[in-house]
Amino acid sequence: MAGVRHNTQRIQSEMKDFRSDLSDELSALAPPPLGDIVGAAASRGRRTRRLRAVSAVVGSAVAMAGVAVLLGGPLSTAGGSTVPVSAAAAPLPSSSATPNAAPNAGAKPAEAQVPISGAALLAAVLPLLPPGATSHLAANTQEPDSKGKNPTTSVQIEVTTPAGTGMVRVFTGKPDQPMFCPKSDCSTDAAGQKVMVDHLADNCIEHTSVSVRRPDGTAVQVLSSSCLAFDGKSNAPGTVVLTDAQAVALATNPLINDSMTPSEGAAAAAQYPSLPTFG
Amino acid sequence: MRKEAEFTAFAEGGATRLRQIAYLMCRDWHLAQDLTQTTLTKMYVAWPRITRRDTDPFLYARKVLLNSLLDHRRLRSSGEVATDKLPEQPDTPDATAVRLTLLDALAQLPRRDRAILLLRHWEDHSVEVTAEILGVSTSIVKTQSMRALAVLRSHLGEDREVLFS
Repeated sequence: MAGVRHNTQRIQSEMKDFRSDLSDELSALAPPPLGDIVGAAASRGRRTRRLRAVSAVVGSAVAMAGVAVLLGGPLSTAGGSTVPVSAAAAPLPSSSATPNAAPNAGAKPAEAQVPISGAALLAAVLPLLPPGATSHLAANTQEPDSKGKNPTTSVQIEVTTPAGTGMVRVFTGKPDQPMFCPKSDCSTDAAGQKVMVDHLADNCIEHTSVSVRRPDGTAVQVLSSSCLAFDGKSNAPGTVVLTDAQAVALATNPLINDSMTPSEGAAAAAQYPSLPTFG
Repeated sequence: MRKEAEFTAFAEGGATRLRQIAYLMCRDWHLAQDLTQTTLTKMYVAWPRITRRDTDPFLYARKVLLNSLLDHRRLRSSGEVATDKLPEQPDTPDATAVRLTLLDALAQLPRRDRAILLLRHWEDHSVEVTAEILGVSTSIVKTQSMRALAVLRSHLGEDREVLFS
């Protein structure tokens, strides 16, 4: 008992020393001025909110126009014309899309590409997941750093399969650093994509992690977690819903990309107008 | 407007502390500044929702910051270069050298161990809260915390008597 108390006192003493020593070190450093970081954050936040609002409005308009076309077709029989089935009614890409196809080989129209939004990434990921109900949809968009590099878009989805509910996160971006890819853990597929599969048994979020780097520099990471999203108090236990092969197929699927066309962005924003962020 | 003022008060009160945590994790003031701004931007966007919850906004901010940092480093494939050697130190442990040693020794730890130590011993969080923030079990936090402290002691060598007396 005395031993336990002594040990606790020693740890408390170490914690105190750790904090005070680290505090001394930080005080001795000369960090750059903080500047108006709060004002800048508020300004970027306001812009993000405005963009989301505009995207929602534009997306709604596109959706309304699509509905009008769909309704107008069969009803305008007097003219004798038949409106072809809208692209919106076309079948979704199959989850068996060739995983080794060349990156960016998805059938995207030749429009200008812009960085992918969270909603568009979600729209791309959802059809590729195993069958099941999805919930807790969320997305994060990390804007480029001060050098205009390393923007990241990520999404979070909970999938309920017959085996249970699990969480999947997908990240895309174009980092300016090469992928750390030791020969022992890394392979290159037929499309020239570097693929690395990790398992972190003691980290439920990253239970299965597949990192992919494509020849054009696009990075994709898929996390299949053994716990669910943080609910403000904890991460409840979950089921790992992707096998390693499924996670690799998802991460290497060319439909998962870091860019989109503006029309894809508008359609996705209409479908998912107010995605929450995840931490 | 009230929400805006609430956010500004929160951000002005927490920005320095957030940037310190980011710096202690990445040892790069510019990256720390970027990540702090990104965190505050996300906080601004989500502020109405955050304030509806009965949770400490700083807890949420810290979680966003650490996840942004881990995501950033994950996608950058970590510019961090792990080495088993510490910077050369003079034979005589003058006060400055000792102060520098703790930051350097901390930088030698794996990212998650560093995060655990910082959350537990710098931010003074309980094992349970640390586990929740990092999405790991409490037993991981306990064992990794003890192990990380032991590694720090071994890195610091003789100086540990000065630092962890």
